[in-house]
Amino acid sequence: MTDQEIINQLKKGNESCLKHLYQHLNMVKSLVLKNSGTEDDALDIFQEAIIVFYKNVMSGDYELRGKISSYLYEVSRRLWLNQLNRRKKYERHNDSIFFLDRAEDENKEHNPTALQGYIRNALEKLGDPCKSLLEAAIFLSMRMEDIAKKFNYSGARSASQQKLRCLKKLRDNISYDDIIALG
Amino acid sequence: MQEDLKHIELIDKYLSGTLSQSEKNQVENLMLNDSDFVKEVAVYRKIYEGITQKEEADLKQRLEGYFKEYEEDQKTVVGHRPKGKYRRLFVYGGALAACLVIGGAILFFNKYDRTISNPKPNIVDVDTTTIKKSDSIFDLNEEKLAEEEKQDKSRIDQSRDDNLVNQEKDSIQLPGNIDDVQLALGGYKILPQNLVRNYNYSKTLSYTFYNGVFKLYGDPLIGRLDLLSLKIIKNEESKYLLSFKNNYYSIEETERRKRLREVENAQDNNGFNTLFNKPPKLTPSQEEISIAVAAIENTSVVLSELVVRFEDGASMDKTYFFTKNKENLELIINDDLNLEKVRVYRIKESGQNYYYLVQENEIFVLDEKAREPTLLNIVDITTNKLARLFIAREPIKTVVYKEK
Repeated sequence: MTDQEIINQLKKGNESCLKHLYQHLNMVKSLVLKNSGTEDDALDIFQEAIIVFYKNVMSGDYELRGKISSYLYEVSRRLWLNQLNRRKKYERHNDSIFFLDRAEDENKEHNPTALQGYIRNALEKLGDPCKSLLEAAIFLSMRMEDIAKKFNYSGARSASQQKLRCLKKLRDNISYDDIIALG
Repeated sequence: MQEDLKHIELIDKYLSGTLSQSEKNQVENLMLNDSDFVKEVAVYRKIYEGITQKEEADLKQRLEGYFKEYEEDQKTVVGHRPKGKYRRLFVYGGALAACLVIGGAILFFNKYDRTISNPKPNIVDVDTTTIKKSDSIFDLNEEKLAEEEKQDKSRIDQSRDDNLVNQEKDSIQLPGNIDDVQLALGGYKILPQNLVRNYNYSKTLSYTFYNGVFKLYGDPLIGRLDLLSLKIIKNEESKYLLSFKNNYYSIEETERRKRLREVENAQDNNGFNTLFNKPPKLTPSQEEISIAVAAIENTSVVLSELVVRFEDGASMDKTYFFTKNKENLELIINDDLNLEKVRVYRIKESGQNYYYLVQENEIFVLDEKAREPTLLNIVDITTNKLARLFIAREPIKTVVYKEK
């Protein structure tokens, strides 16, 4: 599958062809392994790079200028540097008073699962097409024209009207006090 | 209902950062005056956060699945290949045959025809280096990584400048991930190039002499005693002569640097004819003068071949190391440098380079061969004479002498 084909397929909504990207995993693996990481680290980082790539393709921000492989490599490299930096900070802070901060950070990381669950419920109640539409518009930042095509609306204008209605419907099922209390 | 949708649209645009100017004003107004609107913004912010997190978690899960599928695909691809003893036999047989042929050829060429096997062995070398080059991108060690990170940093700085003219996104910047990237690139700063200096050590002296200040440039190893023994003599024609370490130099008032010329013959001695017959008898005059040695900062020039980067608070210990890529030498210092007071010097002396880090009164000697983080060492001035270059010396007040 060529790079262009992968992008076309993704834009058509064929998400599963992301699997072809794993052929580039090895170079990220060797990068991470050579820079004090493990195989699991490499897989995590690579997966995050795929997500960055995928979101950028879907939002129309990605332009095929170079190879997808070099893009993924570049993103992985940066993500891994970032990760290393963060670890370095933790290491440094670990043996001092900053220990408390870390515990706090971890707490923060745990709470979002509650928010996730809450939103998951609300979206299930909402049902399709609103659920998929909001996911496409908010998570993937897809353009309204693309959303219109995907969900068979007459154009960008009506797609964005639809999005607002879906948002309102979702909002009606959510209580202010509940959601603010989460995380 | 319509009013609600209007607000939702504003909030949506606000959260995705796509408000127009007039809409921005509207939102600001609502934020100030409408507490319900503020509440709504908070709710939608949570909704967006929740959707993003949930979708990311779900996508990660699906990616695990795709990864498994990919691994399965790989297995079946391998499975389709011809297998069995014969294939193996064929492969090994082929390999063996190739070895025999190549080995034979090597033997043959080495033994019987050295001149033919030697002429262009480089062809092989060229091939292997190119392969290595393309490989090395996946072959980074941490040093190189840090290196590239820094290069990227300046690249991003540049592209930021570009953005003033051209709003197009640089493909190197990752939309939506800019914060992460900048975080990753943070840490190292480049020492302004004018603080990285080169000084060619030489014993040739030059001077300036104006406004009652005689300033020596050149061998800054001149000790204080030498300076004290330095005498400026003036003859009846108001010409000056410098007596220094048993040598005489003719000098004149000049703001431009001039080389100190030793007085060699009677014609070239500013009219101090008596000099060469017997040592002149000198008496102090009323004219005061101060004698100074030019600080190294004014006598050195910017060194552009060396890039110095430093990271503050990188570690408890102050360390440094050098890295060398194709053409550039880089110095990495793990210490917070005070840009007002710090200098990095390369002193060239008889073909050798010596590196020093000077921060106010502290002088550290740097070993060019240090590739691993090495503790910054304060130099011992008694043994390291070059380091005396960095000691600031107070000018000395003296009087001008007259010939009797």
